[in-house]
Formats: sequence, C-alpha cells, structure tokens
Amino acid sequence: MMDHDAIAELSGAYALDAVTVDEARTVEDHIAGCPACAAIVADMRGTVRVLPLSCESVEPSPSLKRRILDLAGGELKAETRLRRNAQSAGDDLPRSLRQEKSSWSRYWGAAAAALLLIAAGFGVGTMQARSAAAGHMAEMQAQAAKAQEQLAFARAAYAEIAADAKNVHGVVADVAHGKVWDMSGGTGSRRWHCMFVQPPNKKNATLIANIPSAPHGMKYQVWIIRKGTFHRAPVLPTGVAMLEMPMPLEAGDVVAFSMEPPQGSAHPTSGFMMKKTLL
Amino acid sequence: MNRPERSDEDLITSLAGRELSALDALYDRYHRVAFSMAYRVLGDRGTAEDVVQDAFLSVWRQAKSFRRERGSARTWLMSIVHHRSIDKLRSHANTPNLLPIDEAQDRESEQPGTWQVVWSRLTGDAVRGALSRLPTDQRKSIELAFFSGYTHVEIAGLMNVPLGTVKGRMRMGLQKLKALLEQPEAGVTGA
Repeated sequence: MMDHDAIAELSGAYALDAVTVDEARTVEDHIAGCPACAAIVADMRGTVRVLPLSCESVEPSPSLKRRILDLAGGELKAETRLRRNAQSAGDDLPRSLRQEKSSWSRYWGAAAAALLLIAAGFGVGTMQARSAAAGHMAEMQAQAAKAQEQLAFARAAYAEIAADAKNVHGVVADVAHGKVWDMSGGTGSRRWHCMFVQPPNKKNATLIANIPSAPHGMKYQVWIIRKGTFHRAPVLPTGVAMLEMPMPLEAGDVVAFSMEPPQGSAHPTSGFMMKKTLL
Repeated sequence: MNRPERSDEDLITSLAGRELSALDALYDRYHRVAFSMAYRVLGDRGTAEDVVQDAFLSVWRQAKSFRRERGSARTWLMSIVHHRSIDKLRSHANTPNLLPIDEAQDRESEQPGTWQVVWSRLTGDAVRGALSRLPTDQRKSIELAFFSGYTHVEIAGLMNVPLGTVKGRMRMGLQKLKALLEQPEAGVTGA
C-alpha cells in the first residue's frame, strides 16, 4: 500500500501514462479514496493535456477528411440497413426460403392434381387405356414419392437453415440493439478483431473475436476488471469465436487479455497484451 | 448573421444522433492539432493520418457513451489520438504492447472551468515556450514519456539515472510547466 508521498511522487509518471499496470492500479485505488491525492493527480493530468499544443502545426492531406466522412457515412447506411433487417427478422423466413417453400408446395400440388386426373381416367377407360393409365399412374406415384422425399429433405434443410438464421438474427439483433464495444486493434498480420456486446435482454455479455494465434502452447485469456477486482473469463480459441462472458458488462469496466496456458489461469500470469476501459 | 459556433459537447451530442455534419465540424475544428500530435509521435504522414482517421471514427462510433461531466470532448479526442499514436509507435517498433491502452474518460476527469479555460486559450507558441524553459532533464523526461511512449523504467535506463530521479523529474517538470503557463506573460491569449 503506497502512502500519500509515494503517490505524489508517482503522480507525474502516472499522468504521463509512463507507469506499469500494477502502479497504475495502485494509484487508482488510492485516489479513489483520497481526495487530496486525487487533486494532485488531476492537476498533473490537466497539465499533460496541454502537451499536444507544443507540436509544430502540420496539415494532413486534404483527402483525409473525405475518407473519414465517407467511412462514417458508409457505417451510417449499414447501421440503418442492419436495424431494418433486425426489425423485420422476427420469425419470418428469409425471402429465398419462402420462395423455395412455395415452389415445393406447387410441385406437390401439381403431382397430387395429376394423380387425381389419372385416377379419374382409370375408372372410365378401356383395359388398354387402363393399362396405360396404370403405367402412367405408377410413374406418377414414383414421381410423387420422389417429390415427397425431396420435400421432406427440403423441410429438414429448411428447419436447419431457419435455426441458423434465427441464431444469426439473434446476434444481429444483439449487436443492433445492445451496447457494443469494439476493441479491435493491431496492424497487418497481428490485426485482431474483438467486440464485446451486452444484449439488452440477456444477463451476460458476449465476446465476438477473431484473433491471431497465441505463441505455441499458450492461449489468450480474457479478464474483466471491475473496481480493481479481477474476474476470470474464458480462454479464447484461435480464429473466430463467440463466447459468453461470466457477467454483464458496463461502461467503466476494464477488459484485458493475458497470455496463459491452454487451460487458463485463476489469475493473470503475464502482462496484458490488451487492456482497455469500456467507454 | 453568423450562427453562433456550436460547442464541442453539442457536436458530440449530434454525433450520437448520427449527424454526419457534426463530424464534419469536429474535424474542421481539431484535425490540425490531432494530426500534428500524431505526426510528432510517429514521424510518418501516412501512419499519422491512419491514426487520426481511427480517432475521429472512434468518436463517431462511441459518441453515445460520452459523458461531459467526465471531461471535455477535445480531451477525449486528443486522448484517443495520443494513445493510438503510442500504440502504433510500439507496434512499428515490434515491441509487444504491454502498456494499458486506455481511452477511458473516467481517467480524464477534469476540474471544469480551470484547465478547460486555460487549455482553450493557450497557443502552441506559449506551450513550446514554457517547455523550453524547463530544465533539460525534466523536459526530456516528459517528452520521452508523452511523445515516445517510454515508461519511467525505460527512461531511467535511457538516461542512466535512478528510477526515483525520473519520477521526480516528471512530477517537478509538470508542476513547473503549469506554473509557467499560468503566468500572464505565458502567451495565453484572451486572458
């Protein structure tokens, strides 16, 4: 436990973000209950905020503004589309499936109608005609049986696709209506994607991630830090993953990744590869 | 008749309402200081533009979570630019990023009305002038930490001095910088 003098001594380095994670945590824990030290730290941070002004003024290229506005505009359009889709998703079938279902229904209806016509003809025709009709009927029955088999397959496939679609729609709805924190970062081959989602109607948050492989024999483990207390979250598999977090997330929580053995650890045993506060 | 200039916080509220024109206005207001800092840290125009782009898009995406009682919009934006620049610098240097990249507003809590006002009136010349009046070791310690992303331990190694000395230089340097900037002759305009 640091005393006031030690905190004051560290305040400049802390304000400049030049301290270790442990030191930062110690300062934060201390100032949370010490208004005098909190004032010193706030003063230091206030001074640090003027440092950007000391940079010689340089203009970016004129195209930068256009790029930013185009990207933001594109996101706005995507958001609008996503919202519309999520609203209309419900239990409705995707249009392609609706069309498929109706075409199968038409096929089955046509086969049934043909059977009725054949059956009617069977009652009034000659033996030859009856024989030909019987041949036709057998053929049609075979086609109907095949159609029925295909219809059963299509129904099973539809049920599977609908279940998948429902899951996807669930995720889309969670993202569209929930609180989303995009923590993606890195560059080139070390680029990682990481999104925490707190759906409005679910207790726990979800992590959707696609991160590069950890070094051989290691995995990345997620941690949630709330008011200085570490909460253990699952180990991330390599590639695209969707994981339920052990608790709901809220602004102010800190999420972090550490490198751990494949089975995970009870406490972080390495420095954090990523540590961010949810805004 | 000219329309009164909208405050930063009003612009952020409009961003939360997905108004692109607010992003346009915020860019016009801060792109130069944001780019200048990213360029100073990174020394490369293309990478600095990437950082500034990311920062403005972050503000666009996260505007709903902005809380004005936790700090100004400008501080928030510049904090994102700074952290992303240092992150980029470290990743380019192939150094694993073990430092927290924290863009939280809650670490940026301000005493409204004091530095807010000073900040808005300071000029680049004033800050450069004040920095140049700091003892060289204090200025170097501050600049190595802020613009180059070194930790106090790394700076102690670079400058070959004990860790306690670096902590002291940072603390005293920042205190002195503030005192210099608060003097009327510091070049604070409009004061």
